[in-house]
Amino acid sequence: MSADFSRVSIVLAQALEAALNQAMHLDLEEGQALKALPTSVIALQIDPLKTPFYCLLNEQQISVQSHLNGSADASIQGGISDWLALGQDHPNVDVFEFSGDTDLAQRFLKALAAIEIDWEEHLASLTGDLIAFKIGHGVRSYLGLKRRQRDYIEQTIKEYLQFEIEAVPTKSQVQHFNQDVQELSQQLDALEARINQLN
Amino acid sequence: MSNNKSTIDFGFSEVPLDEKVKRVKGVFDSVAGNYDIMNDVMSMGVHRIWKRQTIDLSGVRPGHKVLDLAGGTGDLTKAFAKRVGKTGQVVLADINESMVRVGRDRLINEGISGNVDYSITNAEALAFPDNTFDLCTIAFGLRNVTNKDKALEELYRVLKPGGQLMILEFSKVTNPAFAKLYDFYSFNILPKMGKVIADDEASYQYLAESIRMHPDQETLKQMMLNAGFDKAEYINMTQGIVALHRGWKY
Ligand SMILES: C[S@@+](CC[C@H](N)C(=O)[O-])C[C@H]1O[C@@H](n2cnc3c(N)ncnc32)[C@H](O)[C@@H]1O
Repeated sequence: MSADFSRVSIVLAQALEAALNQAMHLDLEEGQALKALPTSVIALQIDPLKTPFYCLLNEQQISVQSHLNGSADASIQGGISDWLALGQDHPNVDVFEFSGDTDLAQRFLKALAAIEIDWEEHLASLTGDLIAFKIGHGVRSYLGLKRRQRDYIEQTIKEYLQFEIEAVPTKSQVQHFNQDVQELSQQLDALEARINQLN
Repeated sequence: MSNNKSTIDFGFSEVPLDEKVKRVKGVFDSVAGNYDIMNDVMSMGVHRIWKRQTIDLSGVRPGHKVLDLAGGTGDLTKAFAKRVGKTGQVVLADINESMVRVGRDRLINEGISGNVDYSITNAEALAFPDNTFDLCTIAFGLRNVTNKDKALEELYRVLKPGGQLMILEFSKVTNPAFAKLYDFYSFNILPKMGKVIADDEASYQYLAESIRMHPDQETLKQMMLNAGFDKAEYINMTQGIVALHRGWKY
């Protein structure tokens, strides 16, 4: 059983989020325009993709996700080529359709058009994650896998479990801790006894 | 952390800052340090994608109230705090005081504050009123809870009507061939590795076993329905090494 979610859109959302936040924190005029926007949710509809990206604007911090509980405050709709053309020198923002709080949507799109997004950089930093995930997901038979891929899976599991182990105190860590506490209280008892002798 | 106070404000509770606490902090300082290094080193780490998917699917929005139960050092709390903004609130709750402390220090260091509360709470008896949260999450925590049915009932209770519970946890690998590799890895390689790295073969063996003992996808889904959830479903991730279960209260 599975639900309707796409790993690719999640990765794209992450890249968009990284790009927007970077632009906002570079001290450029364009970034400042993003900072000035109120707390709100703006949906970006990229036709023909079925699901929009939701930009959550919060005090100088933008998060992007592909699901939203409830509806957005404003929505911007355009074809994939229109969105890609946004990065060009004189983008045509008239081809987009706005709904909801249109003033907010227009301000957001203008700011978006003005910033330069290095997609390659942001996507490159994420492909490692995606490849790792996809390999785990795409496995049909481990016997048929090439040696390298098998190593990859083993490495991925190993790293995950290591992470998991570090996050949970192990039995022995707990035992060590209990021992430490016991030692400490014995030392305190001894100290107390010595202080009492001084009196 | 300041040492000249006898108690330290800890969100909902005041805890004495005595020698024991310092000791605990010592133990968990090393845990927290490793945790961060792990995150950096693991540029291809899938656990971040599992968590990222959880966050994405949550549909969380500004103004929401979120409970990150068994939140540990606060990965999810951090992401949710950014999303719910000033008008929202995130509570990082964990049974382990030291985990909460380390999580709090880490988040404050990263500039996350103002909309995050910290609570030392057992999942089986949550210290929150009914109908409090829009979203509750428990990531890699349910496996450690003794009475899971009780925890699920509690999570249902504190959710607002319309609210959602998300459980991210190790589960049952679906592909038989992959399951074989995974088993071989967990029962043969992992404990040996544990011996080399931490001189602690038994704990690693125990970890592998505890993962296998956790209820499988369908069982957990049924447990959620039994606990009162009006709808429950799950998504397998990475062949079912982990599953994301979601439950709704209507
Ligand atoms: C592996 S860590 C997961 C931390 C974090 N959620 C993450 O994914 O990075 C498990 C956490 O569950 C907590 N825990 C275990 N039993 C619990 C219980 N009964 N109630 C609340 N928290 C519990 C532990 O203290 C620990 O911090």
